[in-house]
Amino acid sequence: MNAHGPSPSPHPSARRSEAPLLEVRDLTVEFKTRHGEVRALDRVSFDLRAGETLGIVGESGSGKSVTARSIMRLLPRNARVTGGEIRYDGRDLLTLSDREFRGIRGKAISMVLQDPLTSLNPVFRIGWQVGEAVTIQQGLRGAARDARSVDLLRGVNIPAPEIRLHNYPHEMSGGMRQRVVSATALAGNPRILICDEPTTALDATIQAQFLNLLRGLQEAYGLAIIFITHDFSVVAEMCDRVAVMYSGQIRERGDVFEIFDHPAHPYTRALLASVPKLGETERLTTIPGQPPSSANKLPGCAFAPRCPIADSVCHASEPPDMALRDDHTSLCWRAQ
Amino acid sequence: MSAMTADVPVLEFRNASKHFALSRDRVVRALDGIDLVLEAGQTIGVVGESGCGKTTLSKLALMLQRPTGGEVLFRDMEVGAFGREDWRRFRTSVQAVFQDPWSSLNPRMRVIDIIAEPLVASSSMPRVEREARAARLMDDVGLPRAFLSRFPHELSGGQRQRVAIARALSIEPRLIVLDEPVSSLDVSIRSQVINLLKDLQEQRGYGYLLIGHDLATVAYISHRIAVMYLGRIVEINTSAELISDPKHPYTQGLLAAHLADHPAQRGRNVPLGGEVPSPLSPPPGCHFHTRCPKAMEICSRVEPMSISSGAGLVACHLYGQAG
Ligand SMILES: Nc1ncnc2c1ncn2[C@@H]1O[C@H](COP(=O)(O)OP(=O)(O)OP(=O)(O)O)[C@@H](O)[C@H]1O
Ligand SMILES: Nc1ncnc2c1ncn2[C@@H]1O[C@H](COP(=O)(O)OP(=O)(O)OP(=O)(O)O)[C@@H](O)[C@H]1O
Ligand code: SF4
Ligand code: SF4
Ligand SMILES: [Mg+2]
Ligand SMILES: [Mg+2]
Repeated sequence: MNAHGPSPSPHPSARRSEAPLLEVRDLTVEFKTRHGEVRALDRVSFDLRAGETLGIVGESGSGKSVTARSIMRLLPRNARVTGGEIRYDGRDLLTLSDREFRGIRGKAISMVLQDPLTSLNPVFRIGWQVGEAVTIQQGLRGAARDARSVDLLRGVNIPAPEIRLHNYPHEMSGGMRQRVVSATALAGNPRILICDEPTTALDATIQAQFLNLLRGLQEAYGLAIIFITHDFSVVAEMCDRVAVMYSGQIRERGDVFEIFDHPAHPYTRALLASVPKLGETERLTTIPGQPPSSANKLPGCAFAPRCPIADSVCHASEPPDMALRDDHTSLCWRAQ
Repeated sequence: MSAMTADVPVLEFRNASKHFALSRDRVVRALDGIDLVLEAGQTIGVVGESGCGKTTLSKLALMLQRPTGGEVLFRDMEVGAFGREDWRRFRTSVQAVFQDPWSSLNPRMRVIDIIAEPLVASSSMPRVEREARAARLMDDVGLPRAFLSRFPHELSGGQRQRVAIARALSIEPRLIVLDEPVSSLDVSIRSQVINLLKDLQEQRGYGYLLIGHDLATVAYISHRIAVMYLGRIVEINTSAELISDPKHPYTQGLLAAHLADHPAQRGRNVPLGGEVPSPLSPPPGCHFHTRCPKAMEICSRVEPMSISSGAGLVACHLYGQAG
């Protein structure tokens, strides 16, 4: 099997000129819980440009999946979008009817879920599941549907796809299942693919294979990708631009080189320094304390209780989104 | 602090195997001919792809399973020869921390009782003393003492994992088996736990058998690393040498799959092709030959023996004995 995709894309600035494909502005989402209304997203804003990969990084509970699910309109019932816009192709997706949105989901925008092992139905053969997506997205049936399914599986490096169509999910490895899920997501020729931690459950070698595959698919289909992860090395490997989330907010946003070389937000800086790098032996930086639970919102900066440079202003009032060099922003009073 | 007898290895595998018979002719060779020595106060890291036998190795180390061949020794004693007193000593010297802090703590017990439990089982320490000790352990792992009266569901994942570590430390163990201890933790919590593990070893001389899948993290914590493939150790060496000068093509493949630490290095990883074959019918000869970019004719016929190379051992026909 050939796991090596085409060589990586050139530096992202080459693609800069185009207008954004997707614009998320001030997206705010609240959950109704036993403890009252809980704000899971707080004025989240970012752009996605054609053909680029935007990384959304953050720790557990920071709001990455809620962001993805808001775009896909797959929020749980107790969630409500209480503010903001999601603009695609000049339209605010939040104002579309369910019927109109069916023309978007899977066709314009598609998603690969966090858990590859549960996003396939264990009781149906692979062929049925991929075929179902082909029918829904492209209206194909019978032999045309089968032929398209085989093409899709071949496109994600599944060896002997004609035979694999007859397998059940449990007869495939985790890496292979994740590729089948991706094939399903690509059935409608989407322009945007949202990947929510697609490699977290995979071995390092299989993860690297999958990332290379994804890069190849991006070239082949001209996809724009939103890549959600908690792993900065995945960001370094895949992303053109990065948004760092903490406690439902995007704390820092910018070009991937800018973020790695000149992180402006204390949280980003601490995160980058807390990961062991291969072969290095210096003591790891730690971030004291725990990520906040969204239930007890503080008046000032949400990161203040853990921030090494917090001052009285930080504890008293929320920082604004400060614009730094090109397209680099940081939600912090002390950003320079 | 350490009253260790440094000359006796804390744990030793001698040609140890573990085979699971699924039926008469279907046998999973989860471990095959493992040789491994863990000296007191040291860390051996074990890496390899899913299903290569890491957890089985940790179960043998904890004597939760018996080898089907060869021997596993704790401080020079074969477990088959353990008497009642040896078992008591074993239980008071060996502890484990598992990947999933959600399932490894008893949900109906308070933190204080969870931490003190190994003491109840292994000594006649009075209750007040046990509780004082539990409180000191909370300090050691950086948790507020107020959490002693909480139940596990009232703690975050990182806090639970620290409770699991505090519990493992309650009896001053000589050996702690750590099976993916930080994989389930958030990045910011992970570095706290990693630093804690390193500090405790330095201060008290615990031996660690550390199982992990992230090479950078395992190398950061371990003195030596064993690389496993389909139930066998294919290379073992000091962390520094294994990373700077990997000998076995599988180790080279794992390192080549390592993702960039900085975007300037992107696209350099060249992952191994294919996937691990089924352990029910591992390829003959060198198990790795179906994926090895350097495979030779002999590789599919003859199993390579381990030979020493630098500070380590490597099992590959490229070194020494190739025909
Ligand atoms: N069904 C729900 N009911 C109430 N709160 C929820 C629900 N789903 C998510 N949340 C809350 O929304 C916040 C964001 O959750 P989200 O799933 O987006 O996190 P995440 O960044 O994807 O984390 P992970 O890395 O663990 O996947 C969390 O604080 C979470 O508790
Ligand atoms: N009780 C058992 N009966 C049969 N087969 C078993 C048993 N326990 C483990 N195995 C098999 O032995 C092999 C090694 O399993 P083990 O759990 O040790 O792998 P691992 O390296 O820990 O994998 P992972 O990284 O996924 O945790 C696997 O093929 C597994 O299916
Ligand atoms: S606003 Fe203040 S507390 Fe918040 S991240 Fe910036 S410096 Fe730290
Ligand atoms: S013995 Fe042969 S197949 Fe095995 S790792 Fe060495 S060169 Fe590759
Ligand atoms: Mg998520
Ligand atoms: Mg395991």
